[in-house]
Amino acid sequence: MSSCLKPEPEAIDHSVDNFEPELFLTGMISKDSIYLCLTETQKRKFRSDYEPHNCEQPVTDNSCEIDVLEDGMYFCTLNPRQKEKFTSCYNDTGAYSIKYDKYYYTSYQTTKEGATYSVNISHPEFGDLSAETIFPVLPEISIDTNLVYERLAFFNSYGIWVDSLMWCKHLKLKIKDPSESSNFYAFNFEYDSGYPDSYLIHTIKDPLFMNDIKRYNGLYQFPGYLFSDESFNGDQYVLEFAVPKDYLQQISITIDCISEDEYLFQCSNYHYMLTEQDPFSKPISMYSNVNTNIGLFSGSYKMKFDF
Amino acid sequence: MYSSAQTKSLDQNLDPNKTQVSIAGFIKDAENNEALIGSYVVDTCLSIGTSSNNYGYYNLIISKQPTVLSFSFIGYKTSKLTVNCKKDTIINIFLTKDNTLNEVLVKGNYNTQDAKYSGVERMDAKTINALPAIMGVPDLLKSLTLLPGVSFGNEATSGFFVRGSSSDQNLLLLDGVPLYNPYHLYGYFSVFNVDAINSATLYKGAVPAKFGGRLASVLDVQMHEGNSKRFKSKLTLGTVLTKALIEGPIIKDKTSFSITARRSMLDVYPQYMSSLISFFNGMSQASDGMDVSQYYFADYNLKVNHKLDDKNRLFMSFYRSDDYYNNQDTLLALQDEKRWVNTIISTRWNKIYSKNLFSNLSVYHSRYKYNTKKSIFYNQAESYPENSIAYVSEIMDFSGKMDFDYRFKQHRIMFGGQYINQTYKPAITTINKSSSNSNLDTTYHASINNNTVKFYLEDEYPLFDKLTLNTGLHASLYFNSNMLYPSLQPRLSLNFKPLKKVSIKASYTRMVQYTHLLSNTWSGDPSDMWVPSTQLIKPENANQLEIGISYSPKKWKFSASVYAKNMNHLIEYKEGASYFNTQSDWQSKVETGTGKVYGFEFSIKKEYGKLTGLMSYAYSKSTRQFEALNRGQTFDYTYDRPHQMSLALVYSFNKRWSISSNWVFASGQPFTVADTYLIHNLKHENLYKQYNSINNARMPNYHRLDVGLNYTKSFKQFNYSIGTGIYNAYGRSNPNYVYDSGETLYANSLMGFMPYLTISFGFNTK
Repeated sequence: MSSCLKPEPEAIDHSVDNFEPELFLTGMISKDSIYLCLTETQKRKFRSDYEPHNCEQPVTDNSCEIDVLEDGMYFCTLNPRQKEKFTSCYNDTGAYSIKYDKYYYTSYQTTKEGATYSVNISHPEFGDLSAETIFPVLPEISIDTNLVYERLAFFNSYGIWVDSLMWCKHLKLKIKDPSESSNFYAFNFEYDSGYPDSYLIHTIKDPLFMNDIKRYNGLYQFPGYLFSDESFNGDQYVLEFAVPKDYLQQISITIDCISEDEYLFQCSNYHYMLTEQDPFSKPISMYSNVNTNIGLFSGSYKMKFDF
Repeated sequence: MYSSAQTKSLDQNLDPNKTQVSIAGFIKDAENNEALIGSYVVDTCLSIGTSSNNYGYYNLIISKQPTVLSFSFIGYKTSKLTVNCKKDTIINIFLTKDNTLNEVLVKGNYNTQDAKYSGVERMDAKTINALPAIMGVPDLLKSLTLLPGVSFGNEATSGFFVRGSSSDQNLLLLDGVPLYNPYHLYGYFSVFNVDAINSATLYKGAVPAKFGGRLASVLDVQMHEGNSKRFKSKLTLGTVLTKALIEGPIIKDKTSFSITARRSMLDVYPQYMSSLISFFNGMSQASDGMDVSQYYFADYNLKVNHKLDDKNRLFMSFYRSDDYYNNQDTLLALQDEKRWVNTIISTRWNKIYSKNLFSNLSVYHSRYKYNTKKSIFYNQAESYPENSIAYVSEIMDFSGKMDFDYRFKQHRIMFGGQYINQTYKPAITTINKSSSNSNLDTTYHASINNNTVKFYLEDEYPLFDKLTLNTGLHASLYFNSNMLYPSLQPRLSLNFKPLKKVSIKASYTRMVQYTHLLSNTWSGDPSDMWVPSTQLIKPENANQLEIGISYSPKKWKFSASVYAKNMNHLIEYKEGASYFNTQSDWQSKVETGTGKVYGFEFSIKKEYGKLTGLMSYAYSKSTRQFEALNRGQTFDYTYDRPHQMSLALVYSFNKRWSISSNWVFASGQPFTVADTYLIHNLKHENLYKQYNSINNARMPNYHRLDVGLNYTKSFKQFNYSIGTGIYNAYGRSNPNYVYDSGETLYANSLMGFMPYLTISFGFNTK
């Protein structure tokens, strides 16, 4: 016989000493623009009533000189822009809204597949920052669809288990992977109605997606899937899905062709989310390709297919 | 039954000019013929002595003059024998248990060979059974953490860390064969069944030259040989597991066997065990999402020994530990399987060539395999039979070794060699996809095969009257077709006795480790991956210096020592390595660095009398430095616990009743707090918590009191015992992990006080 009385958790005092803020860079190259934002890191304060997300907004920088090189040659200079933003805050009397200014740097230029882009930042206080990434080479993608009458089993949008014969849309997404480079993809399903998760569990059956590599797209979006071409480099790879026709009218598939840096960052992001609440995991440090070891400069090209 | 002796003169080497003769033989338990490992033989006239080896064999050079030999072993009646040998003689001694001496708590170094050198501790099953245990399951590894310099990991787990080192730096030997994963159920229980253990010796300072391959310590566990005189059986019913033992003669006094088995009950009585299951789930789900009601563990020991003649004996051992989890979700057509298994098969042949030369030939196989498979069955009858991803991590040894123990005048020379063929399968991932349009069956990473050749030579001799010196060299060669790593590992220990009861000890030990364990969790996980040294990853090495002093008045033993150790080529995962591709090579995920440990240890032991006990205190500091971790700065090691103290007491009222208690204290364990916010401001304004330095905070201090009460009643052919007690008697909330709520750090404990009850039934033939 044995029993166990689990004690209540005990709060630990902890203070962060010798904190020095640094610049955190986030930059993205797309097909026709380059976008970059710089924020200062913030010291965590451990106290029960502290919620930094709410009212203390990040300081975005607008005092840098930023040049971008393409394959080692001058490409463009990024210009600072200002954007007004609103956010919700909470206090003892309830929620209220505040306005703040967010600064970012941008330039609208057409970029080149497979080119190497580097960014050089000069800051009056924090010094120099630099990062480099390769813009992805795009694959050829085609889609076949057909209707099949078959048995499907899944939870519907009311959470009820359905297991019956029905008309299904079979989708085949054929990716002709470029052979000259390593390629990385982010895959997403979008539906016209909510509760898409249960469908995906039963319709996505590709081992690439069972490989525990997912990405996190924000609190209210379904996590997309990340995969590399390591197992099919240069060949055609077919992703197959079966979707119950009567349950979903509008389906969109998005494929992001992303740079390796974005892929590694998204992987670290996924593992960060996965382990954030796991006290037995060693802490995850976010992937960075910036010389200061914090931040990301990456490339992404989005393709969307509607059905 | 009384102590008895069998003597036999040897006609060979009958040289009238010799002034000395050799006395050799086995020292055994008179009741069951089991070898008494580490028992002591002393020539009381010359005050010289030796101890028996792992097979109970001893060899002592004495003068031809009449003398009295004393044979002793803690818990047994000392046997004194007057001898007047004119020629070499075999004397086999059978000692009987001394029921007037009460329970022995921690079998220390008093009067044993271990006393000669620093950092050697011995523990036996009787000691472990006498101490209070969590859930009434006596545990060898948890008991070891009472010893100075041996610290524990998370609350209630079996992980043990010797002098600020990692758990994979301990070489665990079961009957001389390495065991790779000593844990069941994420470390809550060790895989050693105490009923199967004869003795366990921990070498943490002066490591004999015959051992090698790990940096921190060697735990040499010897299993029971089996009672060769009569049948005995034992059944123990406990809350968490049930275990059974049966042993006895196959041919009386010639061949015997011992079989022990244990199995967990978590999957058998899910309703009854619901509170326990939720307790274990609290741990396992936090780390791995495992539901323990779908899980079991078991282990089995089998040992047979056969006496061919007086000079030859054969041993065969089999061991298997098995942890299995299978969760099938028919609703979602998903299956999640995990299994981790240790398997050991060994054969040994003891041979006495002459009174001066003893040998042991061993051939063994040891394997640890962890595999997990996730499968989706969709439209099973149709075109998609199975899509799955499987992961395997495995290490497998085949080895042959030969050890010799040779007595030449006052020299005791031990030498031998070993060949090991080792196969590693680190993180082999297989993706299988089968459908009408696309097929994929890909296996990433291949197995790695390495070889090790070892030789050793060790000489123990009295340099002069009060100084005994032990010099040794362990040489090894680790190779495959792409690499070659030779190493010379000198060992030196000395014992200086300025006074009869005072010993000053010193040792220098160099160790090299070719096998490494990569872990990505704090808790110790079966999926932790054993990896070899390669062209890129060099073997780890360590140098340790230790100086100690001991004082042993009657019934008491006081010891103190200081040590310092440096370690090189240690490996750790790179920061963020977990999100590298599954397919990427493990070598690209690791960094190498160095470690430094120093400390002070002090202990008091009382080994005789109604009250026996151990009090120990240890101070240590263990740090690591990796060029690419923590921005190159030195950081405290995860299991660095500067202050550690333990007090263990057993009081025997009489033969039936005994009471025991432990109190332990340890500094809080370091952990890493993410102390900085990063704002990823491009898309969703995600807020990330990041750390600036590794192990930048400490958990609260750990302390706990356990109490236990044992009652044993014996009849002629039947006995039973009842054990009850409370683990964590004053309900201290010792932190098992720290949870970061976003604003506050919470130290979480998995248990308050935990009472236990176990009942054992034993049967034996006349």
